[in-house]
Amino acid sequence: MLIFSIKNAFRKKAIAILSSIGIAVGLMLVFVVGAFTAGVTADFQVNLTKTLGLVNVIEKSQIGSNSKLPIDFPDTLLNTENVGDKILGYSVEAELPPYFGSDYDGQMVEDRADRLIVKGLNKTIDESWEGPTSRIISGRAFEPGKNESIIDSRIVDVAQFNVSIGSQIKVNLDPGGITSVNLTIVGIYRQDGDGAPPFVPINFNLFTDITIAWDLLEKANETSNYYSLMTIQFNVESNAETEVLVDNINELSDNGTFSPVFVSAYSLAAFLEQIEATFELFNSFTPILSIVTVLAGGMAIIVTQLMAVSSRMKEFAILKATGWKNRHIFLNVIIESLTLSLLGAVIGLLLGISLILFFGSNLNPFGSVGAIITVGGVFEVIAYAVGLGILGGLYPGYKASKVRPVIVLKGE
Amino acid sequence: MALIKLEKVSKIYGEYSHVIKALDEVDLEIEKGTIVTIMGPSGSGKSTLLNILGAMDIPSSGKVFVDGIDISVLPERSLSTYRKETIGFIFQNYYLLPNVDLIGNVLSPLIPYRIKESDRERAKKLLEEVGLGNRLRSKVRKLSGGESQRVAIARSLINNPKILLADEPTGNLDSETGKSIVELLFKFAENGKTIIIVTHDARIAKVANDHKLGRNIWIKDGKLNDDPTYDLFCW
Repeated sequence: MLIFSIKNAFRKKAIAILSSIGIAVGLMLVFVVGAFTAGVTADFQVNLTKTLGLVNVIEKSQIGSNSKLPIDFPDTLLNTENVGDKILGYSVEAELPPYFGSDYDGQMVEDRADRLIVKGLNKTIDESWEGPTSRIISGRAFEPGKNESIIDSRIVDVAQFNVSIGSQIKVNLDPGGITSVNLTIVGIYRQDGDGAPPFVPINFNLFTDITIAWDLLEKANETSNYYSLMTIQFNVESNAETEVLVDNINELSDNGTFSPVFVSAYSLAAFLEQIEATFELFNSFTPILSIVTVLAGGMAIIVTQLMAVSSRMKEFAILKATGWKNRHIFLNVIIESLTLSLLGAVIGLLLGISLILFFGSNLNPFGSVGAIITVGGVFEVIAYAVGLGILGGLYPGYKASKVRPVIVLKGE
Repeated sequence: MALIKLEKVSKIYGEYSHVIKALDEVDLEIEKGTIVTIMGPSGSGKSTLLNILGAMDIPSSGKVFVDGIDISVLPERSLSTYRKETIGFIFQNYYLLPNVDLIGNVLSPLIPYRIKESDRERAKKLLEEVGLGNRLRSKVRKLSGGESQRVAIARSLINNPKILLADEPTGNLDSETGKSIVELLFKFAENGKTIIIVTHDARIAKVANDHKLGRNIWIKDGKLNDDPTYDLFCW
């Protein structure tokens, strides 16, 4: 029965294969979306673990070089009750206004909006933090008080200007670049990507000593002696604990504890969780996609099977005349539609895996995107295919099983 | 006791003013192992009679006893079993499965059930008996009309039925081929099968009439007559 029905499914090969391909495209979509969802979710989980207890503090409502925290703010925070005792470590950096690095705008890769941002680092704090100065992969770290800098490792492959060790980087002291100072590149520090696709512009950081950064700001008649950002590692075991500390800092700031400065603290994990929440909202459409796929695939099978059944009514009549029961005819049609849908699942899985491998490879022009092929994902596709096969075969099977041999054969 | 017994069987199609009486209170008894030809003009009711005997149609009234059981009151499920175990059908147009080879066609009534090795052996033997033993794996499309009908005969016998019902089995064949098919059917009758043939072909009726097991029945306007002169005067 099984072999007979499977063979029958392909009696009209072109229609059967087209029908299976139609189902395959839908199931492939479900599979690929599922795999990428699993991949992105896993990435989120890894990043959430990595960012556990990490909190950024900036001047309230200010970002980048506009954020100016007093240089004694870290000490203030360390001495703040219910906050300071939870701090495992911290780093600080001073970001210089964009025009300091504007000479290199658009010079990383053609037609891209990558930028070079100049920042000052307190080397002593940075080393204990395992920041850029402790991640030197070529050359050495800058020395305090010298016009030296270290540069992002990623820029080496994309810069259209000289970034080799010993070369000079021009730092503008006015928006027109009339006055400038040269910083010597003395080292390259390892900087991993953040997972963003390559078409997203990158801000490459060029770090120099904090006192040099302040000196450059003074020469440019800008405000100096500030930190733009303080990053804190709290000793916590959960994101909820981190959130309590973040709320503490924000409340203290709002109450004027750090007056005259007011700050905003935010947890990196919370930020990721917000993104994840948005992503999950997007994911909530996946079942709808699946349902639409199942319905469209089901319709394809119903139409294919109805055509097949209608053209074979005499055959079913004869089979009934020779002793087949209604349920035998019905089962035969169901197996045929299951065969088509399962073939669709196999094709869909193969196409899906190929797509996932392509998107995960360097051949992808948009950069490799993480996806996870799970056994559950494969079973999900097979389950959809089985559902499709049964759903699509129900009505045609019923119609075929109810054939009255005498009516059909009389019409001959 | 007769193998087949019809008591006042009527079959009416349509309703109100468009009523057609295909069978009109037919009484008939057929003994086991006989060859019965049913002849009559188009629309006389001969195919209806065959369909009722084969449980493909149900009478409007009357009783149809086969082996002592009234099949006119059986539910569909039991009728399937009856068709499988008691009846072998042979059609004018053969109705073979186009995508299945000869042995597959012969075995097709058994597909929903577990096909045993003994079934395969029987199918091979039947194909040998109908002269196609060397073409077990041939495709149906390569067969002539006569060969197709031979396969259909083998298929009708795979369940070892008591009764063979043949509806115009030679209707699509030339006279020589038709003769060989009739001889084949008669051979199986000599092996104990009851064979009922609906035909327009007077030669088949004559052969049946001359056969020791043969019997001719004429039908017109849904009524039967065993008198061989009946058709000469009434057609």
